[in-house]
Amino acid sequence: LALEEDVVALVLVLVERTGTGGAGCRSTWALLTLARRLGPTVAVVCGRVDAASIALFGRFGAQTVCAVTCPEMDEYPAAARVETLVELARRMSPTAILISSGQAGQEIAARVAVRLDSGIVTDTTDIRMGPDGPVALKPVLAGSYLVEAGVVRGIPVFTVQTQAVTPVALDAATAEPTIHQLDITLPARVRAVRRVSRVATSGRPADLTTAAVVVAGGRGIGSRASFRLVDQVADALGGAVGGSHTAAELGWCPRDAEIGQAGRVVHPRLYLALGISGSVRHRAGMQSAGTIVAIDRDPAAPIFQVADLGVVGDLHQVVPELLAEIRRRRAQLTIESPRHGGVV
Amino acid sequence: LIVRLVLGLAITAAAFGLAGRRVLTLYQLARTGQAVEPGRTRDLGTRLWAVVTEVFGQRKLLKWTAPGAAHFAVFWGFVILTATIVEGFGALFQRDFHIPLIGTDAWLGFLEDLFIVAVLAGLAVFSVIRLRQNPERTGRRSRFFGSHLGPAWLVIFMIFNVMWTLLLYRGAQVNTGNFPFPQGAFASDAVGDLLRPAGRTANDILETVGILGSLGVVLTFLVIVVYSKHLHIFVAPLNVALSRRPRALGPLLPVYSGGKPVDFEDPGEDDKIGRGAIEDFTWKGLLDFATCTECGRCQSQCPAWNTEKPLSPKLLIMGLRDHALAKAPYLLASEEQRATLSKDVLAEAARPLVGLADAGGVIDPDVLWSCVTCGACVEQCPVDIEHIDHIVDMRRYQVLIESQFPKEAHTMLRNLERAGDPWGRGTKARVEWMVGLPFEVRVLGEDGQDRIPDDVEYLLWVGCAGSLDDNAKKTTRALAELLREAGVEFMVLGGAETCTGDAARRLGQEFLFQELAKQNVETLNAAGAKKIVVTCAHCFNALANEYPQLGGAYEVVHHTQLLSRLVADGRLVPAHPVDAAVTYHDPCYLGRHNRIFSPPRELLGSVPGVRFTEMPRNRETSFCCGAGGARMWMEETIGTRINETRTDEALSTGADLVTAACPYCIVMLTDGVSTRKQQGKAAEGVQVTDVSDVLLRSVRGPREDGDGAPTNP
Repeated sequence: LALEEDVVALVLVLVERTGTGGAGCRSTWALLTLARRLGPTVAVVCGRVDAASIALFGRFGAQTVCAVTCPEMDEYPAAARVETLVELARRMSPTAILISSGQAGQEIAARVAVRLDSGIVTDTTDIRMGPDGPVALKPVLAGSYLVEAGVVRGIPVFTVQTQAVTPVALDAATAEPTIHQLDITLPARVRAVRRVSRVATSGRPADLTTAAVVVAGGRGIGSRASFRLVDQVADALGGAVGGSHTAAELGWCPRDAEIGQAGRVVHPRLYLALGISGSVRHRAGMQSAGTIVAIDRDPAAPIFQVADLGVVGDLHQVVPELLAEIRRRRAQLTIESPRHGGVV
Repeated sequence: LIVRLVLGLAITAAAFGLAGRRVLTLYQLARTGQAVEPGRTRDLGTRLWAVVTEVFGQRKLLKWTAPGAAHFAVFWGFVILTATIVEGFGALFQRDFHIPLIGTDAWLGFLEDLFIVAVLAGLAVFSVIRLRQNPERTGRRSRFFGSHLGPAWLVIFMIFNVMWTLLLYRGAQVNTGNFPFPQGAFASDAVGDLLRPAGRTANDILETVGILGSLGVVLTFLVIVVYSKHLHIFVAPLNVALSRRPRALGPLLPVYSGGKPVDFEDPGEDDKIGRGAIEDFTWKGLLDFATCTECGRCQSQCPAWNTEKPLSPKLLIMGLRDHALAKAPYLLASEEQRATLSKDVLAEAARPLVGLADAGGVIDPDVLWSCVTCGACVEQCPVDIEHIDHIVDMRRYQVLIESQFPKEAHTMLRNLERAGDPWGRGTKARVEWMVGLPFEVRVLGEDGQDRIPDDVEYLLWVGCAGSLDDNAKKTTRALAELLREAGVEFMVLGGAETCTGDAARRLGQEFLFQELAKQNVETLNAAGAKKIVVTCAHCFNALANEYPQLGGAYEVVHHTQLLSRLVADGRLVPAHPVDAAVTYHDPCYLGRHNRIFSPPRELLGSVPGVRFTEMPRNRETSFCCGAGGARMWMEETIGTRINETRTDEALSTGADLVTAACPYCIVMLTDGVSTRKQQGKAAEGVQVTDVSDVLLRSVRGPREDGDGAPTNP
């Protein structure tokens, strides 16, 4: 990467992928969408990367793809990424480093910031270029206020709530990104925390907290058998499935798919509540959703107070009609943009 | 006689030697505990009265009639029969010894014999109870489940031995002419009649054998007592005298280290935060553990235990005691000696206080986190053990030092930190409840004044639930309407309120509690608050009992107290009948913790048409809804559900209207009723509501509008 040393204003984006070595995912497209506003973007990929993925990175604005290999990448997932970013940052002095706000992302970002002695802004929802460097938008005090924050020391590190960002692809005519290979070795001192095992959670809810679309069912669904309506809607919208406290209690959905005070807190762009009354406990888990659509029989259900769109009616009639409509529109639109963009 | 004297003194010396060694060890062990917080010896009058009523009056034991009466007989038997021990020792030296002055009076002889018989009757009752509640047959339902059963039977057997040997030598004494009482000792006389045909020589021998046997049994018993759970006969009076008064309920103590409160803004380097090891408990804690008699009254009332969770307050205290005793050699050894200790002792010393079974934990995390801090155990404990304080102290260490607690509670803590309420709604949402009321609610600061004006009588503390939870908002609105109706001027803080910190404190997050509480005390003091009314039992407890610890002293009333006073004064007239079968659930933090039992019942009683039925468990023995102790914010995945158990009890009264006086309880019972409706086990018309809502229906009459209509999700 020596050739890039003289070029100013690069932006580093840490690519997130589905599983180990899988394709890039929505959060990455969102990061790239923001990053390209700040300058020429380097997509940092840990592990091997195929041609189709490289093309996709390019579609969303990556000018360079840096494929990093490290023999112990899988054993030290966080440390390896920290070392990679620190190494690249020292070589390139980028304008900013963008990382997605997931659990792993927060850890990596924090460690990178400490190592670079840089300022960090976490959980940002938008970033633009200001006169003195990048300026990030960030909700504070439980979303009561939005503040603009910049970093005054070092290479700014940002974590981004990617579900708040709409990924936008560039015209199909963009150039293929250039590829660079980088090998790094892990110094002994970063080997304190090692991956011991990888356990698959029960299916889809694993990505519940970062999903852009969440479909959730509650007591109003009526039975475990009827809960498949929720699955069907989620499938049709490419979203993740969740359930209210009651749905989890009654065993209609897995415990780790519970949304609310005692369950998961989700921040999707679209939240579809099916048969959920919307107690304050439930709202604690979904109140930061972008658009809330609720279907429930009881017109007095509190969920309608927070819903952007409410349908009062029997789920078992409304949902099949909804499904039919989604399928009808899907069939009409043969989307030429990447498959991942379809739902946003 | 010489033989009898020598033998008697020899066994006495041996017994006192053995018992003394044990007592010394126990004393040294207690000394390894931390210093206790100040105030344990304050209010001597109250403490003396507690000993009089609870030890000599057996007040708490007598809550359960049959076992209480039996224990009363045995306890007073021990007190009265000390006279016979004096007589027995006296007879070693002088065959016809009697206690000076009163020693031959008929009443003393009668009293002694009466209690010998009473103790025997008591033992019979104990045996029947133990046979009927044999845990091998009845399992977890038995209050003796997990108690040491063998030693308990041994104790009963030893007391029995004391009694029959007493009767034996006293009967023989009657025949040999050495008995102090010419009259009154009816039982001894009867035994004398039985033994008389055996002849003079036989009675002489029986007298000596009986006296030596009796003293031997008493002294053996002494040794058994100090080596067993029966130690309570010596330490219970001490424990009762030094317990928190009026009771170890209501406020939690601040975090103390070495007897001094920890300053969370600048904690000392060596401050111990909570209890992370057995030696972190205070000597009063260790005394608690030593005092436990394994009676299981706590366990029988515990909502966690009764819904198949692993927590039993009794087993928790026993576990801590057994660990303390097993670790004692390590704790009492010097650094150099420790290296030479046996492997078993070192292994015991290495056990974490709270940890999973395979890590050797003394207390399982599931045990620690199952507690709802309802106080049923503390209420029941006849020897005033402070279970909740110990549980919260262990939680404090787990939360503040280890960061180990149920992950579901993270959201609550994060929301409290960021938004000041557990659901993360933020300050702006705190005034939403008043929208649509037919009058303006006065909010502090809206008229430009920073202090509560003189014409305002009460500050209405709305609370997080009261301003954000949909059911609780209805309660707040009902109270506001009733206060308006009664002409009581009130004001709210609006966005200046934050959570009182109750849930954080019960979870063990004392740091966050201190932060929130200090902020609130500052706000309240700056506003010049004097009289406060609250609808939440948890807010009530924090404001009334815990804020004085932080310099916030206010006259706090629960809304049921204020409303019942307004009804009694005729300022509110419940004129319209509410035709409903009603039951009332005592919130733990209103009832047991704060002794407010009558006002809600008086309110319901004042409403015409209400057919009131108590639940089987009510007032002091009320069964928790399952939300206390920050359990509101955690999942309940073990055993059956506490709220459903309580809901079933409420439904069993045939109530259409299940009332409570705390938003937590209402959430839990509403959930329970919804589930039962879904299962077809509750009628569709059953509603859960606050007591004030029933009053409002009666004061205002049938509603014209749909406001406050029940929305059971």
